[in-house]
Amino acid sequence: MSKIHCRIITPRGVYKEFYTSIVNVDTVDGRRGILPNHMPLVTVLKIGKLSTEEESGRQEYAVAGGVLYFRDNLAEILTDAIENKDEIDYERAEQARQRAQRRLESNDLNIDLKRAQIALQKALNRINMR
Amino acid sequence: MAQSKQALRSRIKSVNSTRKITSAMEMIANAKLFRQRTRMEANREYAERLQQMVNEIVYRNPGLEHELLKPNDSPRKFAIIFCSDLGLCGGYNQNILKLARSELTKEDPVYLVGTSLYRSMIEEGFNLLNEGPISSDHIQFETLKPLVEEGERQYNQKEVGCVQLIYTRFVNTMTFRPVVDQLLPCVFDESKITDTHDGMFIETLFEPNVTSILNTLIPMMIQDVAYSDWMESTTSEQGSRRMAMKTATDNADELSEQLLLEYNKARQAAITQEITEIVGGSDAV
Repeated sequence: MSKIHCRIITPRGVYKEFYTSIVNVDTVDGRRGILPNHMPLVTVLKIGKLSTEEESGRQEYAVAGGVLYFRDNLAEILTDAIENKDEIDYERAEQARQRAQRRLESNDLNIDLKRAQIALQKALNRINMR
Repeated sequence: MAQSKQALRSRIKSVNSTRKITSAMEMIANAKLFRQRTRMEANREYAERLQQMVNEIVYRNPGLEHELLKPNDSPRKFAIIFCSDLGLCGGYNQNILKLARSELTKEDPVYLVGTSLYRSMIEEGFNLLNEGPISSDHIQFETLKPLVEEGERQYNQKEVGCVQLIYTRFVNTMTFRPVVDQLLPCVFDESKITDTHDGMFIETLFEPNVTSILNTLIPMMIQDVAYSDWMESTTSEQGSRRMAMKTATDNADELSEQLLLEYNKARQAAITQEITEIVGGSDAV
């Protein structure tokens, strides 16, 4: 059976490159699984989970939003930040969550609500991977 | 006798110790240059793929209207300027300042990254948005993001007509050119489209739709352009510093050689004089 060649590219370079039999992503329209020989697709990823079936078994990653470009069994994921489930620093994520929550709850008019919400989403996304 | 032996000796000493400093700085700049270049290379793929995607989408959807692609007529320019933290890097900072003076008016909102021009830009009356000097060292992708987002916000609200970056392009290890890079409105380059299917477009699904993909892609792209331009600037800074320090070291070498020659002459003159005196003295006896 053919496999999907998946490349995860971040501003810091290629994060990982591997073959997988399925790519599960959280798109803005909902969760979506992509199997080999899917038709060309460009879709926007929201802050969420990416899961794959690699040679080393099932892998899960926390993705901080981005874009997926699929074509000819090559899936390219462009994202600001991505972490494997095992790499996440849960303590730091928890701190980030508390910080974001404090900021959202404060009545300070100077804070950027949208940014605080995004920060909270990212922190929760990491925490939920556990 | 031109200068006393004593004075010459102390000058040689001081020239040599300065030379040690400049040559150490040269080596440090060299190592940093190498590191920055590696980081620059690492980012290249991400940048290329993003640009390619945006170009492809715009190219395939002629007549596409998008806020971030349309110029608006506000005369203001939003600019992010990259300079260095430290001096001793040749004309690097001055060239940027010169370009900023010619490109921007005093009312244009500006973010300055790098501390060395902070004072002089305030004195010249630029409209700095910085709350304080932003160090240009150890910048992460995330550090630049809010600056670019602010530019995007002002652009969307038509407070500014374009968003620009003023940075130093790294042409090669000897040449650095201060340039202006336009982030918004996006400009497109058809040559960047690489369709592997002999010009035949394969049908592609855009989900949820082209506009919302561009809404995500364009900000991602300009943030990355800012990041890669910053990296190019610091690479240029290190290159520029390396060159300046190399010239300084070479000059020190030359100076120290001249001084040594002069010192030896003075020493020889003193010896000759002594011998003449002794011979003269013995003749008299």
